[in-house]
Amino acid sequence: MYSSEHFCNIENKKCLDVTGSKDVEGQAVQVYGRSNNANQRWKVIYQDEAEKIPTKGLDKEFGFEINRPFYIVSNMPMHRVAECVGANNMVLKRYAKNRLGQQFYFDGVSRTVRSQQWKNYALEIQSNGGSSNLRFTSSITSRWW
Amino acid sequence: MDVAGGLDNENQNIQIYNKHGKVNQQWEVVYADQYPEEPVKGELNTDFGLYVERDFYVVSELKDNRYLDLINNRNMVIKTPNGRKTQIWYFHQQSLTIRTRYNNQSWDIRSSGRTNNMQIWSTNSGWWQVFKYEANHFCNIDRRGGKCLEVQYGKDVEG
Repeated sequence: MYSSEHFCNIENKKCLDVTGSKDVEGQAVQVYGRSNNANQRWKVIYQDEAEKIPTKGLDKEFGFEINRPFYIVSNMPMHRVAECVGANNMVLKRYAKNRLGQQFYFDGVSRTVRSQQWKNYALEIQSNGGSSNLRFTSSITSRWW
Repeated sequence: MDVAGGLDNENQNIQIYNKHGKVNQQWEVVYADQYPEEPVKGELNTDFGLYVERDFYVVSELKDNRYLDLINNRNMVIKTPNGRKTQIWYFHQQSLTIRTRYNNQSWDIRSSGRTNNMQIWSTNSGWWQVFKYEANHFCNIDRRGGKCLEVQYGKDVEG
């Protein structure tokens, strides 16, 4: 039942609980003995009253225009652009008009930078952030890396 | 986001690295619908001071006004005009290099910029192949050196 911002089982009284109180993408949810902590408190927002997820305009937190294709231009002397090669690594290349591998966009839902050529791929730091390499991945978790 | 090794080369890997603020970590986001149009054939590239794919000679301002030419179809020298394609050059927009009509290879500071000798070589758009024409000088774009095309020892002699 839902009461006082808690979802609790009617039999054992355990409540819906974010494990470890970790507020990160993909964190597991379990049931646990009731506490009054934030990791057990939930709001119900009815869909017809929910705010629409923006599909365009500036995301002020991230500094990108949502879903608007862009180039990433180096300030080094040749002003080369970043290019996603083979849905994998990112390298410097001379600008080539309309080459989609050189265009990216910010996805306002996952809040990731996506390749315009491989739209199901997002920019990430390889090895769950344990590497220095940047690449594109189809396993989009929206985690910090 | 960091260009590995600070090398402004084609296909250089992009990685992440601790923030240090140098130019290889500086980027601009340019939205595709606002990306400036690049000049096409016959138009002036104002950054580089040359018209795109418009053939030209390079004439020394030493007394005898010899033309830039090639010896052994590789190394740059000055020679009197001879009508050969080795004296005809053009600016190639895609690579931002100056090429010869002889075989379409690009101006190149030999040994990837580690020497002062000029030759032509397969196009790779490394900084050692990119020159601007400004105030009657052809100067390399590298920020560290900015070296310019020069007749060795100022000797106005054939070859």
